Amino acid sequence: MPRYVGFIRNAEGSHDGLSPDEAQRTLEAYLAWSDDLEKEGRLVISSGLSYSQGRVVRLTNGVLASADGPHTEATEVVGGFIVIEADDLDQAEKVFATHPHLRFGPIEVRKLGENGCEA
Amino acid sequence: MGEPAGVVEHLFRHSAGQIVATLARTLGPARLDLAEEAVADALEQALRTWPHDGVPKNPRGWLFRAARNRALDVLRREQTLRAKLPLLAALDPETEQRGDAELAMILLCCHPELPQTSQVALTLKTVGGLGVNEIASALLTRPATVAQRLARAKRWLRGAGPLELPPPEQLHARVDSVLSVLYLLFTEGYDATSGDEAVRGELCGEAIRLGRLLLADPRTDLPKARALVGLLLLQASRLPARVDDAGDVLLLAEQDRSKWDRTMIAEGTRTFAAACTGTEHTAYHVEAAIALCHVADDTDWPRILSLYERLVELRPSPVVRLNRAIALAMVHGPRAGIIELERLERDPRLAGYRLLPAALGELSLRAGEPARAAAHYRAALALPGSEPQRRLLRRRLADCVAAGQ
Repeated sequence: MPRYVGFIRNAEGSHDGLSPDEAQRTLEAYLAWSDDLEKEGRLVISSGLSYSQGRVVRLTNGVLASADGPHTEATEVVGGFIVIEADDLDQAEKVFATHPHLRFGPIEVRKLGENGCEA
Repeated sequence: MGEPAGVVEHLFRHSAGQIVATLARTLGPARLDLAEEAVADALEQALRTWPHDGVPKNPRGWLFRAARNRALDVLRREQTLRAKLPLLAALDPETEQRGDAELAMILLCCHPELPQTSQVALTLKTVGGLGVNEIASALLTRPATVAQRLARAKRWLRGAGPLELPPPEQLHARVDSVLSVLYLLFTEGYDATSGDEAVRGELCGEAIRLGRLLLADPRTDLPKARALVGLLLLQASRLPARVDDAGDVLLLAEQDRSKWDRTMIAEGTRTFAAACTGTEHTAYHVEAAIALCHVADDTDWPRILSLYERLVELRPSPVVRLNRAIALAMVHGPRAGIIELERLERDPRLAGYRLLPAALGELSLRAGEPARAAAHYRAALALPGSEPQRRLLRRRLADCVAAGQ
């Protein structure tokens, strides 16, 4: 079955000022979502991404430069990703459309390349 | 994968309070803010990783370690800061008056990794010395929005490294972003888009002062920087004549030229001449050349038109095209300009841009069609603008009505 990745993007400051109880409810909703998906056998792999252990390497006019990043001040930062199995993009979209994260930021859904083609 | 949801009931609420209290006991209640920040950071980390990696076996211990590590990070940074105490004490006010630090600060404030709105706010606050309320009224936003932008920009600054000029290979690009911030700042002062004043001279003055700082250092004294400063000086020279005693906007043809600042014109002309020594010809060069035409005794419209042609190539924005259409009308008659402007009416980027219907009104009146002109001025009046700008439009509308009778 085709695989789709959802990049979980955090809109800037989206988690600011969340009370511990709200954070707890959010966590539970996230966990329940992953749990349901795993029971359906759709969940392939998922992971959070570190904010502090990251670096951007760049070649500018032939000069190699590296900077700590990505910067969390950017408008949206990818905070994690989830790979699922779905029949097609429409179904993948429907699955991610139920994710509780959408309260805090968008999820970018992309098909994983099959032999590098767009089929 | 994760344990079933809800397995750690009230974990966050109970642990958060405990960890904040524990940290605050160690750090002292004066650092309650640090304790709270550390715990909020730990909760955010948990939200980001637990849904994928599962709830750790000892979630309280995990949260505690994350919060403690965060607090350690902050304190280490403060310790580094404390090591600077002798340097701070040794600072000599007599030798530190030069603009080096300020220049490095502007370049940092205009860092391309910050959104441009934050660049402007940060520059005004840090180098311009404006308060949050002043910045909000200059940028026509709410003080709360400005405060938020500044807070985020300052968080970003924490990780931005030492306050030094960027390495030579990055300097050109960084100067570019400073120039666009100064241009924006000046434009906002020159043609205030709302409020009771037509011109906010202090914003124009600040843009010029910061531009001069760039020219004072050989590393940033680039032709494009000179061109922009020349342009700003030439534009600013006409500011004293731009509004009448009642605060109303005057058009170029109506202005009392004896009120133009001749010293500023001379400095602007010199600065622009110095900008033209190299091979680089930026949009600022072309704009400065146009500004120079406008301060001449006789306005050379064919030359202005050819300069706008060049500017459209360098910066193909609809606003530049609008100005080109006006120059076209001055050379080839109002109808030629109207045809161009009517083409621009279809550009969605100019929807709501007050100067388009205003220019159409002006050219229609000159073409001998006061009724059409009046309709355009009415359309312009329906769009937002500062009070003096609206008075100018009403005055022109009255002219149209009188001409139609």
